[in-house]
Amino acid sequence: MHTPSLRNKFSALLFVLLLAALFAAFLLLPKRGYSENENRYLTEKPNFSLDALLSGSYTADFESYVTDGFPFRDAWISLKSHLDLAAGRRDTGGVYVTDDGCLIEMFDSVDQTQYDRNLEYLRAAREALEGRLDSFRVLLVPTAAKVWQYRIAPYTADIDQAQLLDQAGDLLSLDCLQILSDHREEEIYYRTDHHWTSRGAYYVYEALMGTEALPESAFTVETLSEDFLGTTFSKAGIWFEKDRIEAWQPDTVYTIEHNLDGRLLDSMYDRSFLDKKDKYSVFLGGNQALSVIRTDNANGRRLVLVKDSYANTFVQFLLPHYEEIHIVDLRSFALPLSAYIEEQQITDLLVLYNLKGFSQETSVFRIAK
Amino acid sequence: MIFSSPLFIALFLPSVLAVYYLTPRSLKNLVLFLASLFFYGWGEPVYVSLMLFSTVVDYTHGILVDKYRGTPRARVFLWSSVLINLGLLGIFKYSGFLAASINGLLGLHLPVPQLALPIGISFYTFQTMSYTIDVYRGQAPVQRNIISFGAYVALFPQLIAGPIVRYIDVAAQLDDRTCSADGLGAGASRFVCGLSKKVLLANTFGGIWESLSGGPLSLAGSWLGILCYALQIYYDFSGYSDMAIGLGRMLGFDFPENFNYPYISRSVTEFWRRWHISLGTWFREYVYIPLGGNRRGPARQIVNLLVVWLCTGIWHGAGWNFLLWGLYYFCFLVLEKRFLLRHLQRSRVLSHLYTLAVVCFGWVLFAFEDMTAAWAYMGAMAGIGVPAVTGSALYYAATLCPLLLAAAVGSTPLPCRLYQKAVRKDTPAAALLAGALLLAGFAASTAYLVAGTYNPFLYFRF
Repeated sequence: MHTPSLRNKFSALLFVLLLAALFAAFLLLPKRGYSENENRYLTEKPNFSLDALLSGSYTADFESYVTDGFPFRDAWISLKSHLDLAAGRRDTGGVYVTDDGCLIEMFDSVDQTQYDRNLEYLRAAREALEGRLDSFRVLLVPTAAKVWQYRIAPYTADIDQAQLLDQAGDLLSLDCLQILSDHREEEIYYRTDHHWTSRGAYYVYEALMGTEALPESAFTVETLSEDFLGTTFSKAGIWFEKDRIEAWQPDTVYTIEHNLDGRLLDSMYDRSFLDKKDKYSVFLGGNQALSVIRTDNANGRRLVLVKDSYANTFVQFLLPHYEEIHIVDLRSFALPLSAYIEEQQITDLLVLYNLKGFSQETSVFRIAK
Repeated sequence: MIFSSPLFIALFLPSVLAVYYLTPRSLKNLVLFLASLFFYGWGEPVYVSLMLFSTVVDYTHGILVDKYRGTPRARVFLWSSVLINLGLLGIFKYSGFLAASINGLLGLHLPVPQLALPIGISFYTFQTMSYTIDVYRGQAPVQRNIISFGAYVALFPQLIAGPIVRYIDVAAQLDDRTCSADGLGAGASRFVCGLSKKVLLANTFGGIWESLSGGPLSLAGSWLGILCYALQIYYDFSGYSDMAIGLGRMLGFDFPENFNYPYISRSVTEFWRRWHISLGTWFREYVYIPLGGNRRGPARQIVNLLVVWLCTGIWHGAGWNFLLWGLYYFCFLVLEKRFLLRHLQRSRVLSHLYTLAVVCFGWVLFAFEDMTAAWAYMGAMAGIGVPAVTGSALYYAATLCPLLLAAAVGSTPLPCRLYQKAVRKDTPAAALLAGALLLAGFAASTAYLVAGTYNPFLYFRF
């Protein structure tokens, strides 16, 4: 062989150093058990067993362990996002990044069968409960990818949320897309999270309650946090401006009990989450199977709210209007709903989901049980 | 295990290289053999036994063929080896497809075997077959050291996605090779180049292809989609080959090249001289020429070509679409041989466009195992019953523009030529340039791998 070229010697040295550095860093740096940033437990080193090896689960888990425990994981993810944007892409990690710094979750595919099925469950429930309730109302809230599409690009990779909403036209009580679009210049969604804000929820509440709705001035607006970085930040790995979380509190006096645990709280806000990454869970303390609110409004109106996390922001606006609010998350609520409605002498039912979540939800069938 | 994973880069490769370089020359094949078994067993803890079986079978057959050289028995052992290898392929790769097809055609209810396909089986059975055949033909020396032979069969750089390294290509290196800083540096550059092709380009285009082909189709969207797929499969496959060749160089081997800028071809004939070269060579050496090639008249040549192309098609996966894909290329190759090739010489532009169009329609057949989906997609490419364009096609066309341009330029020899020119003189500046590219490619690829984005392994059907 001829004498090694300077170039190859230098490349060899560099490569060896890179590999050695990665190898050493992986072995020596302490592993995090939990990723605040991604809001999940990282994969731990799996225990070896012959069964696990032969079934392939050991090696699969070990690979997740290496990926999750990779040295400087968050920095690599952030580098990836910056490279995506530098290459002219407008989305990274399933999130659109707008010029004005919004991180908007993509909604680029839909399981039409599941969505159709879920709508059928709602229709079946409406029929089954006919005559037993004063109202049966359904709200499907479009996500920011639709309402704020104009901030992303003239065209996006998204499915047409308007068309999906049309398919549910006979069920929907309001055109949430129109309502939110009318206020699209305002902070109706978080910039770094996939949820809507209290302000966004207020506009839909205002339309839903019509003449009964309280004006903005009837609520005490409190800033709960000014450094919220939500789920779309975690996916994209970059952020521009942190979000503000507001509580809009009516002067209703109420108690709230989660999951029949016997503890009556006087606030629907769980402020312990404000010190954590997952600050949106300040509303109701995150998703509970069942929360029961009892207020001092002796008006005989008892509401069941069937919902996902979008509704957690919405509950504060319902407080002045009902004597009882039963908040049900079908993903973990195990009782038959019709029996519960009977038993608790429920007068009104409201279904509130975000459109993307609803189209993927596999527990909606329980509403017709 | 696959190369483009944090596990391979952060743990496996550093460990193996360190041990390999510290081991004395006489034990290097043993290290390589054990490392390769670990590499394969990691993904296929059960089927690693199958590979060992194949190793022992062909090792023994090689020795027997050599021992009875010149007698009819040598021929018997040759055929026994070929039949065992094809038998393995038949059982593990084609039995389910065969049974299902027979049931479908004849309305029978034969039990359909549900065997998981052992990764890389099509690569290593072809390699071990080449060994016995080469020994029979007297083109390669018999390998008496089972460790060295095992290292050849299991050789982890090219085990799961090629190139198909024939035994005669590496016979000498198996017993005598040098590991040097030169090989390590050149190999590292090549490896990082392949890694970047796979992780930065192929995976990105693959994600867009999935998105575009899974949503509502349109004329522009379907063309953009198949373009993305064409780029994905080229950068993925040639990226794997680059990684394999690079790893080979680090370990002291010189593997044959597998891709030679196929998308600059001006005919389908040329395309197949530039695409997956090692497979084409294999079929030429071990099927086409033994069948008589073009020496027995034009009619026999066409039959030989048909055999080769049906085999090539079905080699890529046990499915009707792959068979059809092979047949599709057979038709174009025969047409070109008969008259088309002469006409293609006339216009540079048209011949390029023709080749790209044939290849793109071919990829549709390749991509969809479900034929109805393939026809629907081709219909969309012809503009039948679909809108001219959708929002998502416009979005991806706009946001992918820089990457598409880069990938298109990258599929021509231009960037490589510029690089070779820049580093022709062995100056510190050239070394810095090479180092900077290596560092950038490595860092960027690591970022994409750790972020855990879309990272498919495309060859599990092979």
